[in-house]
Amino acid sequence: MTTTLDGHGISIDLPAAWEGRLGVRRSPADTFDRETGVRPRSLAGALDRVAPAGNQGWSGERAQPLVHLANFPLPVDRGDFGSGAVDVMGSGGILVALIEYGAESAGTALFAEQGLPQPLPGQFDPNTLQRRISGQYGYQRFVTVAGRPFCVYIVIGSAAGLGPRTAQAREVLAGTRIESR
Amino acid sequence: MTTLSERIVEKIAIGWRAGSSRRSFLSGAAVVGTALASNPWRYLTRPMTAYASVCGEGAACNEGWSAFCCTVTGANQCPPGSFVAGWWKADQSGFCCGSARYYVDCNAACGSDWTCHCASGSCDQRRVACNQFRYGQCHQEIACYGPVVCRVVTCTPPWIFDDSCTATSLTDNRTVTHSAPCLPGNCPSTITQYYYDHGGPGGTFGPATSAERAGADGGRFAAFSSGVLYTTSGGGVRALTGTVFTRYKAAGGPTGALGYPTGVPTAVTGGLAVPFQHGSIYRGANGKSYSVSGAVGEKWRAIGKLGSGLGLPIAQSLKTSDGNIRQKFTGGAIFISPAHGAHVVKGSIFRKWIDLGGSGGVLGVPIADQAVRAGFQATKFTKGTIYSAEATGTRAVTGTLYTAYRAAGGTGGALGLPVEDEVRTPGGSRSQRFQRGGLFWTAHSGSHPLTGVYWAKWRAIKGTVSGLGFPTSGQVSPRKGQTRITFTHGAMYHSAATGVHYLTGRLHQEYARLGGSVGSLGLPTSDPVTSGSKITVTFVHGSLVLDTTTNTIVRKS
Repeated sequence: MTTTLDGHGISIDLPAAWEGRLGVRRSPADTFDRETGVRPRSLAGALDRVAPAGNQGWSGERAQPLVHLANFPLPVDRGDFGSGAVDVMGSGGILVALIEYGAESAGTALFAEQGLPQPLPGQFDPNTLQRRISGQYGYQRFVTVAGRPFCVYIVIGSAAGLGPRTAQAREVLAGTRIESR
Repeated sequence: MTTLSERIVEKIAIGWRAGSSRRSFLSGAAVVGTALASNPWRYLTRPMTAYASVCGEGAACNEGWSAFCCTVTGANQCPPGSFVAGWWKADQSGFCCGSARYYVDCNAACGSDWTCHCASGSCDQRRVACNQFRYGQCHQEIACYGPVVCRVVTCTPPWIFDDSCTATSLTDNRTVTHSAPCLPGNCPSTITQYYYDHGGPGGTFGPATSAERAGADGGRFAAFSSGVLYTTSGGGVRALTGTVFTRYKAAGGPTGALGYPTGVPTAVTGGLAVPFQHGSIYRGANGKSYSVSGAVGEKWRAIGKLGSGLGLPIAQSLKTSDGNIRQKFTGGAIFISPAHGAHVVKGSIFRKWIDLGGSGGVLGVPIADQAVRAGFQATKFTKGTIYSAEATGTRAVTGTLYTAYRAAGGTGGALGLPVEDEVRTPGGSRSQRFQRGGLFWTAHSGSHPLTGVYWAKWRAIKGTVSGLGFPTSGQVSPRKGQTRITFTHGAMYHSAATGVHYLTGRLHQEYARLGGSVGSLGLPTSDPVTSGSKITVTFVHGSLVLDTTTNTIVRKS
């Protein structure tokens, strides 16, 4: 039985036992309590000052749709390239991140490759990781799909079973449909 | 008021002073201070080193994160062989006073020789050139890339200071504690943020040479080896670098003649202007910078600075052995003498003054600013005046001729404006032409003007070619209705009935012996006329004929 994630012109058929998140990251200002002056997190909350209103780390950057898919439970607190999730994934884990970029990136050399990739086991490497975690293998491609620029980032928990897990990741990507804007 | 962290650092520092050199104390205190500022409770209550607290989580190489560039090269900048390849942010960071802290990945350029290793030398022992990963918002025109060499941090959004980056937002709050001893601590000042945005100690401005402190008008100020940074009450961080900084440093910095910078460096015609408490520094199109301050600066302000038309300074002010001070500008100079004060000399008048030797030349020092009159401009000096008009050019009148010129009414008198500079003969006599006359000076007879009909006659007979020499008298009237001017070798006579005529040499001597214009011959009615060996001058009552072969003169009725 498959579940379908749908939103922002992206539709994904999730295999059984997989879970996924699709959305746009909220502004941190939405969660900052100006009334109580709750201090933002630093190394140990050692702030003497509270930043002025309207300057809470949302200075004009543009959040884009973001997809996290995994064959294990995704933690709530995740970095966009899966930090937090990769820390808890087991050796059999698979994480697929599909990250959209602004329309101005379409047509650039970095996003020249067209269509979602179909990764092969030999294309995974323990150094192709945002953060190297022992045993994990990573894969990263920048592509354009339906005129929309994306980064496809996949982490697999261990070398053991790399072939079957790569196949699962390919299956997930094959079940991903992206509409033009 | 000091914070708890500051008080603790001070106590620790006092304890260290006894056994440490000043250098080691400062470097040690900096590390402890950073640790306390970023993590005071953890640092004081857990058995860990200051370094571990400074670098935050995931600082060991085997934890897989990329190192900070300042750890690798000393500069918070992408090192050679790498490029700005992408960024992410950690929200609500204490390092940026609650705003986002931005992490910029520097990926190796394809073909560069970076190799994977662990950073060393501090607690930031993260990976260098190992992680083949890209965030991807910057330099998207570059498709080929190597591993992340290192990362740069900033509180300024990357797309603001680097046009190659887009604003597509990517977040990883797990890196919010990541840091290094070479990065600023908690909630740095705007100057410190700017400093580290430009590389920190290994970057554009080099190491700090003085602590940040209060500047002018509520602003802040900090000095570095290659520049200064400051804020003004209007906000924003400003930088002085290059020749402006070099000039400021040479002027003694904030404790020197200029004081603290007070405003925004501003583009002006032909260069850049930077205001200070007690003057300004100007950088010209050639990249050279000069300051204007002190007594010259006071005059500069009084005349409206660049609005005066003097242009930008092209040299530093210079004090001469005689106590004069001068500073040159593109269009002139400000000159200060103890006796006559500060005055401006500019334009063609300035150039003429310099051509004639400046303050050590025939004109001396200026005693007034340039005066603008109807149709001309003039600047007075101790020994003369330079006049400039479109019709007559720029001319100087000096010395004895200047005295005679003024006695003759100057520009408002019969002579008008000078049309040439003074001419000196080998014999030492001097002359100068004006719009409506001439001035002549000899050591024997002093200065005398020629104007009106006499000037017209002088020009008609080609002046000194006639053999008259220079005038030796003013205009005299031997009898009502007639006038005369004597010359070195003759004279001119004038009446309404006879016009103006001249005699020279033997004929003039004979005419004078016979009583001249009041004698029996009366006034001359012709100039000397040469016919063969005879020269004839006719008069009202006869003529004189000089036979040049016998040197005899015959009077005819």
